[in-house]
Amino acid sequence: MSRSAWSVLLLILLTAEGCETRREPAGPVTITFTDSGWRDPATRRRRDDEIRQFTQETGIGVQLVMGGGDAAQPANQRALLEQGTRGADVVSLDATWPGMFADDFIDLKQYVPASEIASHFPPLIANSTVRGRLVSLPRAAIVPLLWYRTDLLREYGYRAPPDTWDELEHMAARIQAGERAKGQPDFWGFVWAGVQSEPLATVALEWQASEGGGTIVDHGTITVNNARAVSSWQRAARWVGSVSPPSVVEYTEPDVSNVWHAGHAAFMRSWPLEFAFDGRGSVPDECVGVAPLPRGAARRAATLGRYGYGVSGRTPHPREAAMFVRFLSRRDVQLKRALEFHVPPSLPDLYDDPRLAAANPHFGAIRKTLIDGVVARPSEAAGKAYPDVSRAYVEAVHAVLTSEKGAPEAAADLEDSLRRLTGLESPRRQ
Amino acid sequence: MKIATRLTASLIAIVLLMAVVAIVAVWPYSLIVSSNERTTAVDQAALAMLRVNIDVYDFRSRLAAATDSTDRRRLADLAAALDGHFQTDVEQAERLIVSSTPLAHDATIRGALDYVKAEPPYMHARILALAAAGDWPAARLRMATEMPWLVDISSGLVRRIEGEVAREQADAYARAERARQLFVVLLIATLVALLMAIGLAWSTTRAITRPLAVLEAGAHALARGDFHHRIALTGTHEFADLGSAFNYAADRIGELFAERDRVEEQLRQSRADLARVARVTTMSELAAALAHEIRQPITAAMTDVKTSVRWLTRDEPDTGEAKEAAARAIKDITRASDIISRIRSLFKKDDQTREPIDVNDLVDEMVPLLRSEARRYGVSIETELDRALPNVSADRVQVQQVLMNLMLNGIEAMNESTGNLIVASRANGQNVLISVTDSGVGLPGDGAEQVFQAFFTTKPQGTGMGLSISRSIIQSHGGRLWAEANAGGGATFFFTLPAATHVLSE
Repeated sequence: MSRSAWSVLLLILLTAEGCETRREPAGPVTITFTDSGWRDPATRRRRDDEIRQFTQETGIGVQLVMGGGDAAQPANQRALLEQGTRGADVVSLDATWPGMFADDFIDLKQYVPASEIASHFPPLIANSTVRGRLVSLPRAAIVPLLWYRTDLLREYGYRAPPDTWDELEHMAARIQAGERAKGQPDFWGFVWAGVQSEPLATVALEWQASEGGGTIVDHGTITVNNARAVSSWQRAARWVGSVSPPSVVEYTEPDVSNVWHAGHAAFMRSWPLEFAFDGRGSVPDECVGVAPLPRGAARRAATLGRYGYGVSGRTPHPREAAMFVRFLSRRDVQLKRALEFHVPPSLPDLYDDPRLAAANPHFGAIRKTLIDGVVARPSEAAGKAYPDVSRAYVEAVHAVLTSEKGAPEAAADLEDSLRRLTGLESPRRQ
Repeated sequence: MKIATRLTASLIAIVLLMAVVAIVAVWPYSLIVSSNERTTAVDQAALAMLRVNIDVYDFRSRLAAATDSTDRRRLADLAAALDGHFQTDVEQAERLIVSSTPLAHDATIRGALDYVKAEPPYMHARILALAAAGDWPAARLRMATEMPWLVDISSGLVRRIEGEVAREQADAYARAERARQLFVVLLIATLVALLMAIGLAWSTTRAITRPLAVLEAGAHALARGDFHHRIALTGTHEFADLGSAFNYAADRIGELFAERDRVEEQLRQSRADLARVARVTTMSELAAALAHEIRQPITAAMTDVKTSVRWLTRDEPDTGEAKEAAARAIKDITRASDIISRIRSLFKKDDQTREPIDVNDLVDEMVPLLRSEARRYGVSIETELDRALPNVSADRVQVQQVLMNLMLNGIEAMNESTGNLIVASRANGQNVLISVTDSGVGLPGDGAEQVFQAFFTTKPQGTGMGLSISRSIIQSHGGRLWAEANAGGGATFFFTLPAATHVLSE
């Protein structure tokens, strides 16, 4: 009898053994990864190369999660981050994200040596460090630049790109008039992203900050309702329909890029990512010049863009994810990326490498910008309220650009809105 | 192991076997079904995605036509198509992808699909905004740069899902192959389970029937009186316990039977001894009476002989008178001799021999023996005998003893007075009924039955055993002995004996 019982048990065990379904091989870890620029084939190729190299070196797999792009507002990304399995382990962070989502990412200081952190441009590290935690590690220096047509500047007798906004306006108007006279009715002096969305916040911040109008929130006070800010917005409103197309208030960053690369504009305010679009438009490479953004009455201000990667606090593989982030910001990887794909590195000393200078003659403007003065959107001060702050700010500036509101009125209304949203006060009037 | 445990374990084992077979049966089936479901789901997702891709191409050509026409209304009308079938198709694809196991967990697919879903309306909105601002060149540029990306991602998604379809089909083939192999396992498992179930059932049945047969044989042996039969069942099961209990019981019953036989033998011996003692006692009581009884004819004979002698020694002997006197003497001596021989018969040792006897003869023999004793007590003996009685099958000596005992009791009961002792016989159905009636002191007030108890006596020299022994003698002949009080005083003792024919017929 007990022998039969044992046989039955054995049969069950054998069957159970056979029932065991295929399991994931308990081998190398695979981490997921969201990145910007995933639609563009050149960027995809570059990233695929880097992922392959990382996997070869470490045995850790990386899966790119598509998504993001223009449609990716911070709130959407936030949702992605919170969706657990659908949120990625390694996330590309906009410059505003460390301030907003500091607690959702791990502190990279536990995985990255201090010397390595210190080797990046200080403004990038400063923007990435929130309440002492290193939320993201830079993998590039993404700051806006003034793009210009070297051929046209030469043609119209300019030896150097404009150093101030006034010079820019002046030169743009002249070249525009000249080109239109040559039979190009769609030619414009200066294109920039004026659509009512986040990019306008970066642009408008540069206008008002360079004029000394503050960075929206400065030292715990709201700085939008002041004469310098108001006049900077008024100047931009003046550009609309004069040196910039009336439709500029609907221009997203791709539109700006499209119009400039099509040869329909003399100046463009855009990102260094444009270097990667080898010969896409009709403007020959040798006619492309790059300079730091013009200075205002007070200073030179360039708003930080998306430059780094963070590791989600929800990742099951923080060590592997941090390894990948370190890899992406590694010196040799950044150098290769700069040489082959023209991505400006976040490591200042790389700019002294003669190979880099040879491959990217325009990178001097980037180092200059980072040394000279970058400005950050007030995400750290606003925290989770930043998307609302940004929306209110963009709405106000856009209303000025489209002449729906006068700039002083818009500034006063915005100040009220921001007070409500942040609970912060305006600086005392003198 | 206990039978109950064994039965339960067997039942559980059989149920488990059946369950295993069921699982083994379900397994290949579920493999094929799940494989089918997966393949179908992926296939449907691929179809839906293809439809979305066609929509994207359609969107591209219509958007191109609209931007080329610089007709804002035409461009705006595209929104209806995007809100309509494009959204429906893309949501359908999304649903199918989410419900398809291999696709749902691929973050790349979901991300790309999110983009394909969101991008056309977004692109359309942006282009419409540029067109509204009158910037048709920017609108066309936007379309020219962004549309290839959309088409590329959308087509890539189709290729990716179709690749999944191919993989799933290969997988499905592999699973079908596996299911086919499993079918053999199923057959073997069924066969093994069946054989094991049969084995279990057989061994369980045998575990019950074999000891039962042994116990049955034991019970039969016991019924036959074979107390030495032993149940040989070992183990821990209930039947082994039952077997040892049975053996113990057989031992005890054997001992009890031996004891009973021994006691019965003792009893029989005691009863015989007691009967003889009683008889001897009775005889000794009789002796005096008998002596007188015998002396009487002898005295008479003596007188006769003296008379005869006198007649012969007379001067003139009268031989005639002497001869007559001698003849009387012979007659008297003969009578005495008869009495003696009858007494002798009473002292014969009884050997329980049954023979057909006439009860009336016994009475006739007994009455003369007791007459002189009766006369001593002033009692006369009368008989009322039915001469047409059938014989009874009985031990003559024992029945004599009973009759004598009853008659002596009756005579003694009339010690204080004079009276008649009436001995009667008559047929009573299949029995012969004999009664002895006295007019003496009667029965004790406590009841007639008391007198039949051993050691009950009213006589100073009695043993108290007479009636008790008499009853057991009559009962051993299949008859009954009882007493009744007479209406006019005294008591009547009755006993029955079965008629010989009746006895023989039994």
